Amino acid sequence: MIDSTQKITTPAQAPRNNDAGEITTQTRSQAYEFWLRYRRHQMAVFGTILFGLLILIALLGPFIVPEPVVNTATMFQLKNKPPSLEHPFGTNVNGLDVLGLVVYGARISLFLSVLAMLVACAVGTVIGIVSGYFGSWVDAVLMRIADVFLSVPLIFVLLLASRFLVNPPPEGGTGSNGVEDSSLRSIILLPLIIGLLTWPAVARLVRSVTLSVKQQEFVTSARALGSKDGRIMFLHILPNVINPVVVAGTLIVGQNIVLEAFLSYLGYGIQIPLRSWGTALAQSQNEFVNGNWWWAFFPGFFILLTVLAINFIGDGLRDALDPRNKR
Amino acid sequence: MEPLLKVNNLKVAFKTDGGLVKAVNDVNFYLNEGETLGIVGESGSGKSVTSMAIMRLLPTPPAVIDSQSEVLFRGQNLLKLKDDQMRKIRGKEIAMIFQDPMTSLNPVLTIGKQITESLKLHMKMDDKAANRRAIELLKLVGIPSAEKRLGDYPHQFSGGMRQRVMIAMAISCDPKLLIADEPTTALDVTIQAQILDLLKRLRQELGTAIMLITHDLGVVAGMCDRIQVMYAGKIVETAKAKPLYANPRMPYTIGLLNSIPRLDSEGENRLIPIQGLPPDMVTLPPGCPFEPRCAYRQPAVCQSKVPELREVEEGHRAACLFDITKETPIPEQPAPEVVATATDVRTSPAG
Repeated sequence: MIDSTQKITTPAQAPRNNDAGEITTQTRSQAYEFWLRYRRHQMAVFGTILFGLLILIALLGPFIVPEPVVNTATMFQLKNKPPSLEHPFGTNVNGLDVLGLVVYGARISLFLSVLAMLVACAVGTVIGIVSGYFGSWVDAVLMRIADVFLSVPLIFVLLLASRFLVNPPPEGGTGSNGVEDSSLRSIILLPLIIGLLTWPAVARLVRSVTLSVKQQEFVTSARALGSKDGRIMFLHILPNVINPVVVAGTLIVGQNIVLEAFLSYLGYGIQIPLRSWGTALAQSQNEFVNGNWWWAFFPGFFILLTVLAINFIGDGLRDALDPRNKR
Repeated sequence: MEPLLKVNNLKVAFKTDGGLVKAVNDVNFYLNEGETLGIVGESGSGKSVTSMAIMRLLPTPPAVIDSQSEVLFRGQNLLKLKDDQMRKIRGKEIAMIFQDPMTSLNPVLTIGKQITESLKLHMKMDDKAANRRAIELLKLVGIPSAEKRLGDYPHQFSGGMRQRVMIAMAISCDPKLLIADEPTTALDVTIQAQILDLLKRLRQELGTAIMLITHDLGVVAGMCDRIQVMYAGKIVETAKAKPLYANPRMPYTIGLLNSIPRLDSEGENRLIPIQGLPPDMVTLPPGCPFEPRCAYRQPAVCQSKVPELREVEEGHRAACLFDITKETPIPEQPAPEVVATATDVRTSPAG
């Protein structure tokens, strides 16, 4: 067999010595090329660094900053202090360090937003690929379901779901013994519900990309090799639609952070003693007009920073992942 | 001997808003083991649809395959198989190479992953064995430093190299039949020759039967044992390669051969193009589909009767009512009118 290959000499085969030179240029891996393109997007690099810092704060902060727990002994002494060296972000009406609130809030806010995004992307991608690949009635049914989800007012459903599923009214009176239980439930259930309500946007995106990808010859080629539908969908089509999902995913995280803050602000999201940026904002609603600006400013500022950082990352990813953008 | 592939009365139509497009109309042919059959025709003559119908790769709907049609592969009617039985034939017994190597490889999967896919699927090989076989295959199709290139992505290969990879994928499970749908159309001439050489060599070494589909008469000339010419979804002439070129018997084939520029022709031989356009496949003419464009036509006869394939010489069949050869003088008659109906239908908005 080796003999037979030598009968055909191709231009590429003849200059053996060139191989080494050729390969050094080719060993630039996909990841490296991606990085080269991503790096050109300065705001994206800035956003990545910023987001990395925020993650670090969420992960390491609690080891540095004490957990904000109401301490009745010092509460009145520390109440409503403006930012100082001791309390860089000031303190709130309960004498809690706002820095502590922000740091502990980062954990929940980021975790919840990312988890909700993962749920939405997973569900949306699967439904989008199946819908786009099979077409006809499968597509019609799935897309009508997506339409139903899109036409329902998100906030309203979230409020209802959170009222009855996440934070149900305690049974038999006002007992607070269910607090531990309900707080754990809220950080798992809330993102699940948000994810299950926001997948249609991802599904539509994935469906439209799938529609164009499945027209390409390599899909026919895979079928001609005897591949099954499932294999074609998840081995051949999935990697081709993942780029827009990644981009959409980052933007969804940003939306989710705002959504969670909004829910918690209304008292339907995360419940104290768990703290998110939303709960920190909720507590401050009357204080802002009273001049205690730091109480609302810092959690709000961190929400702004995170959403900005994530949007920059999304922009950078979109440019870097698009192979047409190669230079 | 039972032929490897026998296609009987194949009729394929497509449902469109503009009507039923009859892409393949009653096609019959066979292919013996180890034989190379060339199918030649212009765009829209139904040659690709024929091959897609054999592989059952046409989406139904919109495609409709007539229930009387038969595609017998080793005596087994492929059109009647269940989907999962057909999947076992695709890639393993019958493999296919597509026209455009730029789009027929998945851009986001490595070459290795794509070649080993059917090996794992059909031959139940594990990763290691499949990788070893993939390297062997890449060497066989003439890709240098095959071991290193398994991890490369399609965009790191040139067009010719990609077509080699496609061929490697197609022959990976030792198929009995290889359908090559315009395998060289997207490649430049030198690479074309290399790919054709490669196919020839594989046929000799592996004994694979090849069905070579092309619009290029030059490609099939040196490659095929037998050639059949398709026009408007029908086979209009079939013969062994030599007699077909030396003594074409169907006016369409004569027209095709006359419209090839030749360097060795003496004097100022003008190219003779075939007038007009192929017929509209929704409303086929009642008589010979080539009649409106035919230089030898006799409207009274040709418009009323559909010529069937008939034996004009031993092993040489043509679908023409008259015994026409290259030497037959072209009768004096007004230049064939351009098929107005066809263009009308095409330019009118669909639906």
